[in-house]
Amino acid sequence: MAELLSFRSLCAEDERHTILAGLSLHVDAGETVALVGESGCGKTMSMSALLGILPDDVEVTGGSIFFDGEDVLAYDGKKRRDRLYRRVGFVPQNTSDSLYPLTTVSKVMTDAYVHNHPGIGRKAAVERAAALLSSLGIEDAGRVLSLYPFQLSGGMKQRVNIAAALMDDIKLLVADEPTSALDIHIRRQIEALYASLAGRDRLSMFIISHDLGFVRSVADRVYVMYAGRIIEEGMCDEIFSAPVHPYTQSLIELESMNARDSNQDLPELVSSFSIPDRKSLSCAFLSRCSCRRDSCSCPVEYSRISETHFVRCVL
Amino acid sequence: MGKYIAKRLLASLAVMAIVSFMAFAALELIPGNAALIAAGTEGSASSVASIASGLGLDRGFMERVLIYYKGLLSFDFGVSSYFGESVSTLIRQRIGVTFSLAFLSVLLAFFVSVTLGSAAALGRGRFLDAFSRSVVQVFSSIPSFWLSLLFLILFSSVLHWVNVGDYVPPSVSLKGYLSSIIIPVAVLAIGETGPLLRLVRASMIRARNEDWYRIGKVRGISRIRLVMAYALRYALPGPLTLAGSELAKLLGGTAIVESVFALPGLGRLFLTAVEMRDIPLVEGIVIFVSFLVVLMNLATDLILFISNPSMRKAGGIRL
Amino acid sequence: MKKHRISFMIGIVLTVSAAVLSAVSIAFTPYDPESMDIYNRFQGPSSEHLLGTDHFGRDILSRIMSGSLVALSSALLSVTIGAVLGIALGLVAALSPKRISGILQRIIDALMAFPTILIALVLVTIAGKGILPSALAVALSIVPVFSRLVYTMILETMEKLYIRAAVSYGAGRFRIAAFHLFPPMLSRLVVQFTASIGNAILLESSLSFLGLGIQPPSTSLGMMLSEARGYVLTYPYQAIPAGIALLVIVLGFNLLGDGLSEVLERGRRGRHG
Repeated sequence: MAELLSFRSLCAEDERHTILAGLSLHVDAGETVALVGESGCGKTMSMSALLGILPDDVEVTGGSIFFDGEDVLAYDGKKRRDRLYRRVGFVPQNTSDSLYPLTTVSKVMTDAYVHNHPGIGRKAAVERAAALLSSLGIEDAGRVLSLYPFQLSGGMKQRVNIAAALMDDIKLLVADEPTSALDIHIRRQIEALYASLAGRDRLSMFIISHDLGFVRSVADRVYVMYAGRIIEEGMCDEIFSAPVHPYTQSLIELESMNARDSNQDLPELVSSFSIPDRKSLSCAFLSRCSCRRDSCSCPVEYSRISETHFVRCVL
Repeated sequence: MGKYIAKRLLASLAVMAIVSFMAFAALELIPGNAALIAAGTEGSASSVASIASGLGLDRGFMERVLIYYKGLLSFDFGVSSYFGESVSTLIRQRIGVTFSLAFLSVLLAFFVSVTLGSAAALGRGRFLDAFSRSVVQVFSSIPSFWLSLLFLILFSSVLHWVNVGDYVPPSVSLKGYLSSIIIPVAVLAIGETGPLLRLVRASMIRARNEDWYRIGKVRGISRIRLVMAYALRYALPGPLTLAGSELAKLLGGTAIVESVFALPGLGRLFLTAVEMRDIPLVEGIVIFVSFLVVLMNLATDLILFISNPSMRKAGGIRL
Repeated sequence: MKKHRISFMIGIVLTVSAAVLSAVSIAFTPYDPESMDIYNRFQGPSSEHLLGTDHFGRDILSRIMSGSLVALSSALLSVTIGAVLGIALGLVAALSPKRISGILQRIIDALMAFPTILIALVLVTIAGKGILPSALAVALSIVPVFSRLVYTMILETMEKLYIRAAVSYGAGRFRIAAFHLFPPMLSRLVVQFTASIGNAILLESSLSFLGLGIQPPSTSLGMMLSEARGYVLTYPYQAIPAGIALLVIVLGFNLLGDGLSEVLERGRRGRHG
């Protein structure tokens, strides 16, 4: 399959910390890829780097990001708009502050579209927006379009954000923690929605999440990120049924325990969190690992387990 | 929405009542009452008494308050003891000059602040930001009367651009009018630019840090459009409110500039009234200006209220 | 970051040197600031008169020194009075029952919305010209600034979770005020105090300029400029030194206030992560 998006040894840092330490991953056309890991591991930063919305004090110090065969980091403002933003849709984590509060949903959804497509009038754009909302399961799309963002419910804001991201004919949908801060009922609906989007032929998805239940139900492939780099990758089944890295194992164990009963003792993982030196070549997870041994202090290679399954661990 | 407006109107009326009462009561406290002052040092006891009864001073305090309020309803502020004319006529003659000064200077300051403030907050150059910070500091530290003197020296005696003391009403010659008020307007505008620019810059930085600003960028909205159509609209209510209340304040705060540039406005009238201890005139101007201030603030609030969808739909902010 | 520190330093240098110069004027000025010397009037700067002389032949440097003392001390007095009254009013407004607090707030708002010079002029009309009435007028213009600050700070803090927690486990009013309300307020009050001094000096000098503040033979920077006004066309130099002195002092306090707020703000952020 053709490669649509790839991060190649991306490094980034702010004034004090290393944030990304040689992040490499790729998303093929038509595929849904999830990036999982704890908060603070650099997930959101990798996405911000792709979209050109890094905070002011964070700087990319090495590596590259290719989208559709072109280096995204080399784009200037106009090129980024034409080549990247019109082909990549983005659903942010906090969907309630992401809609401009002073205009109606209709304006929020169509403004960029109308301005970037000179041939298309406002009316056609609004019709397109309404059709999109309907396709996402909103029955009275016309009414929703006439509302202001503050009048929408949480689930509605999610859908409006997704619909706004789909206004252009995008190739890739990037979603940041789509299920966080949703109650269980709406979570199910949004999960189903993403699953149906994942089924669309020409749409790839890159989903950042720490919600493994959600990831399991929508993703084709999964990357596990720790301390600014990938420590394990594989097909969804491989990761969930046969995790190799101790970190992945404990993440999945945590998830299944959460699903069964949240009162049990949690494994080692949550008890300690330290920021390791991200530049060192030895295992970053070492200090928290329950299966460490002497050889762990050697530099770790990224080793292959199967055609699609790789891990960064000496095991 | 109607409820909010009604509430706001009532509150304004209350403030007007409080302020006018305070002004009236405060000026009653003056040692040597209005009649003594009006009669002058030569006045005999009987002339003082007749002036006093003419001014209604022989009545009780509460009765006088009521009479005064009754007059206010018909825009009657009494008669100036120094000019011997009705206070409302004197105000009406002078308000035009003061209003032009106040309005034009706030307009100028607002325009400069919005341009410079958004450029400073959103531009990538650090220089512009440092520049706007310095402008804020220096402009809000310059005493307006000194600036007036400097401008007077520069434009009048060095460059010979304007002549002081030749106020030309706009009805006579628009060009003459503008050239007679341009320098004082500039002085006032510089004073207003400090606080306005500071607020515009802060509001624009806040807008830039909002989620929708980043998301708008990713949705493909151009930077210019994001700034001009989104961030500005989001950031302007604060500065607009400030401009409104500054305009209102200036209507009573142009005394110094009017006095230096010899403009026949309300401020100079007020200075004369204070100098001559013309109590009815002082009272009238204070109350008139306070009403303007309250009404102006009410108007800005209502405009903001109508322009903000969440307030409009939710029925108003908590008062 | 670094730029802010530089302007903070400038603020400190300007205010300290103004304070030192005016303190020195109590014991020593190059000439008697009030003694006239008609034969030496309208002199430009020279080795004898560093900043020249005015229309009565008085030494401008000496007059600036003693004028600064008047400006600083009367501003300090006004701001102190204004701050005490304002804080008290704000406290009462924030802690009294809703109806009274509403009325007090209207009064604060009304004072705030009012042109300060107008309030000052009314006060001068009532109390007469002179340094004390003008200092009072300036103080009155400071009052609403402080009361509004205190009022909003108390309301903000009361909403904070840790205060609610303290109330819920039964801490008394006094304990809450002393340990939780006051410390975070103090730094902002200090900032406001510093920033208000600049404004107070501006207002006081405006009143002096209009001849309503301190009366001759004492001097103030505003009065010096008012006198210079009579000679703008013939001897414009006289309007320069006192104006620059005034600008420098006010700028110093404004920079100091900004710098302080920056430092304290950063300290607060540092403590709470």
